[in-house]
Amino acid sequence: MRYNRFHRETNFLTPTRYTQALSEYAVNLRFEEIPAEAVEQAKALVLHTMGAVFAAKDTSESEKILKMAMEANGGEGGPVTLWTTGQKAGALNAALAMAAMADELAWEGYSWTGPAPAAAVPCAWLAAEERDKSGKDLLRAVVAGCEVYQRIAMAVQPDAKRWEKGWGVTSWQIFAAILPIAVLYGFDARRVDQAIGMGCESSTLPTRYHLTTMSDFGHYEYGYRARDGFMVAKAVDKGIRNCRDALDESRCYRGIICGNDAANGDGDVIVSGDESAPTWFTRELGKRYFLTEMVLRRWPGALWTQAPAEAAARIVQEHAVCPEEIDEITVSPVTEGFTHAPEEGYGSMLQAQTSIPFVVASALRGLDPGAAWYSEEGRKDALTTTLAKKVKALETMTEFDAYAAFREGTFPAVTVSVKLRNDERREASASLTAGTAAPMEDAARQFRTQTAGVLSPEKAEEIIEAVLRLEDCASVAALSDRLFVKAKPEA
Amino acid sequence: MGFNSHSITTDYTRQICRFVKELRYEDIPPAVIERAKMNIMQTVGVSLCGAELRQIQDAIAIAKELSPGAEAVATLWADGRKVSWEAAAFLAGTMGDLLDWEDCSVTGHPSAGVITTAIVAGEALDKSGKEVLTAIVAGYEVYQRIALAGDTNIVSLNIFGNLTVLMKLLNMDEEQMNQTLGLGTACSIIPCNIHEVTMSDSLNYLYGYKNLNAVTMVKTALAGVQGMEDALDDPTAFLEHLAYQEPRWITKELGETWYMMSMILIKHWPANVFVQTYTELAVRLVTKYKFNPDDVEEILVRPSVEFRHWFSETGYQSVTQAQFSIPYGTACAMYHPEPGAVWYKPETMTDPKIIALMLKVKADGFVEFGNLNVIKDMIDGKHPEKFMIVRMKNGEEYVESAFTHPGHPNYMLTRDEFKERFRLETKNILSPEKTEEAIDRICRLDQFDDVSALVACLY
Repeated sequence: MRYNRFHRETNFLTPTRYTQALSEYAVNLRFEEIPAEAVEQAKALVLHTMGAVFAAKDTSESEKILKMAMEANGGEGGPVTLWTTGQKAGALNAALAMAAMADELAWEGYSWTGPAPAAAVPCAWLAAEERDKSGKDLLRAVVAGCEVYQRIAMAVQPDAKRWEKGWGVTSWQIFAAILPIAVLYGFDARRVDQAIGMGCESSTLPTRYHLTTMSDFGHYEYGYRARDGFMVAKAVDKGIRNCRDALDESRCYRGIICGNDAANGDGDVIVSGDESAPTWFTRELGKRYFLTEMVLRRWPGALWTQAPAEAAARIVQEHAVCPEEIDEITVSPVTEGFTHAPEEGYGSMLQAQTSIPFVVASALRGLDPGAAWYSEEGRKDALTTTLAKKVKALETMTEFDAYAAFREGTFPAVTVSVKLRNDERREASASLTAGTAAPMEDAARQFRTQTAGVLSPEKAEEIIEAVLRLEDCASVAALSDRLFVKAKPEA
Repeated sequence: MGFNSHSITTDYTRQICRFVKELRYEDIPPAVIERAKMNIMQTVGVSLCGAELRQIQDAIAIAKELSPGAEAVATLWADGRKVSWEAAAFLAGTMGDLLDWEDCSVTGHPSAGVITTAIVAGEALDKSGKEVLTAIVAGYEVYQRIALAGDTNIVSLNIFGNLTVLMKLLNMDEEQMNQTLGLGTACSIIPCNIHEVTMSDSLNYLYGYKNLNAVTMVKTALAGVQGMEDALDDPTAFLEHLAYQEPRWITKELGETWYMMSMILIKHWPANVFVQTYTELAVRLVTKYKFNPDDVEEILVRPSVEFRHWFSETGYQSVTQAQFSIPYGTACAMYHPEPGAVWYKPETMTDPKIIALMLKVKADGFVEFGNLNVIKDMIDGKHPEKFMIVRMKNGEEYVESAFTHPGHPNYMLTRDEFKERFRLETKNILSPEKTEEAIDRICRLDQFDDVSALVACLY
């Protein structure tokens, strides 16, 4: 039932109903009413995320996470399929592995609030497979999941000051996991509301300690959130009592994420200024599709490495630069905190992925983008490290401002300028959103790049074709069986 | 020390790791070991008792979905099926606090995590009774200190007790432990208690999630994840996000004072901690004076606790809401003086007789709380004496009073009382033979080379 003990004066009902409105939106969203460009983007996100997972197929980190997932599963068996191995597993454990792998190379789609597809796409696909839903159901769940996720995340974004304390990029990901599953499990609005409530109480602290220390645990966190999302959905599916309207009560989520203090649910929570912005919960709901504004990352690397990498690649394409002849590289503007170039190479994948110098150096060398960039050898490669140290930033912008510009569509073009030993200069510019005009076409091109050396060209085309026609698919379970089990994906 | 964009000026995390690494069974006082055994008895007993309720049957079903493969290393309590370590850990954690009957420390319910994690891991890893008991003591001591350093969600802090148990049982080195605690901070949940705001039994699943995630975290750490060290010392990794920050608690009297002896109350009744003494009084009254609850005119409680003194004219659907109601606990205890899962069956929570009696429970004043440490004050023995006055329709009046209930650290149950409670808790789940076997094995746990011997008695 709807009950909140702090609202005696309104018969224990919260005065607002944001949670219920979001829940009703997710439940009532019909495939036929979704604009074609949103459906196109949903398919692109599915294909692109799947490509990110395949790109990570053979890494040692993937081996670890797959081993953990199969141990938790009690060995092979279950209703869903691990994309990269064709093994059968329970959806809970498959979600752990697929979502962690989706973020492992930092190559999945990215929104203003983080890589929503990392959990949203694996959870949607696995829930659709588990419950034998159609491709239309799957796409509807991806759209609903991304739209609800983005609005919840936007409502609790920190101000510039709080940004220093932490940013919950891996925290609000729980909603990207829960919502698609809730839709595919056929929850009514009451249960979606409860699932959001359990998502709030399962939300992790908005710390991003992995970025403070450059730990690859950050990648695992997406897997943890995806499995948490399934656990929440399973509990709600079985039936829980109450736990509704959590987004409407400051002390249940937004006041805690944005607050200066929290009194264990018993007392007042101080919400810091205007940080918590509850009007975001339902902003332009059903009218504007935020998922169409997500970026399909063209390069394996943090968001702020994308435009520099693209510009560097253009220099290579247009001028055939020899890396050994490079004297200096300038990039402008760069995002603060993303310019590290350690003498000894990069200690973790994340440290390399968040380094504009590393990604620019890798692109300038013309190295095929993929897992090899972030292998132990790739991160310590002498030539890449030498090139990375030649990267100089001209103008900088704070990460907080960079996200604001991304959100407002004003992120400036990034220029990479290479000075050669003969004093000649080569220069190119690129925008953050380069290549997203025709999402599915872009995603297909990306998928071929992501899976090169991992899947046979025939298998890659088969998967592209299947996702391209996803709305015609009557059974995601049968499709998974065809794509991943009967002919196990091999290079 | 690895890369960190902040400067680290303290070594709390490392001190914790050293304590856990160096703790030996032989160094733990016998009274502490005895308490650990009794806490096992209590937590396992109330966990099994909860299996009579639907939510645990649901959790069993989810645990089976979590482990559909054929390779099994642990047992689903109350069910008997062999499953993965993760699945068994999830179920046991969900069971631990379902009846709100296991314990209450000054900061939450550590036993729901520490005990369940230890027994399940002990089985999965073939650990001895001594190893499990040592890990349990380490788990309580670390949990309690981190929990006192910053206020957060009541379940959130369990992750540190759970991780400590596993770190010890896996014999991690100090560096691995340091990484593991960092994973714990990264996955700590935000300081909100939605279950208490909305009175939801979703809470019980959260304990299961902490158990499940703790297993995955130690496996992640053992697989070689790096860079998560010193998280209890970093300025923004953990404490900064909690309701207050008192880091001195993290290592206070570590290895010198056993907080599990003084800061953990054992629940005597399946109900919220603030409901305990009133329930105790209700049972004493109805058994001592043998009145028929139907004939009660009015029940006065003096003083009551304002945020637990609520009624419902239609009864309760949520187990949590019923557990948190002094009037419900009082009325239910008078009709069912023998506690058990029956208190929270749907038909009991909506029983017209219990609802009618609940509506007769009146508060004569409320306990005054001067600060947020209301539970700490209670466990410190600072709460006032409570009176319950029962006025019958024929004019007779019965009165009982108590400061607290058996199980309070100042009024701890004896071993025989723990045994009696265990028999009561498991009577509808285990055969009498298995119950006695389980009691015997818990009491002699330090003599077993493999705690699987105990788990074999739990279904």
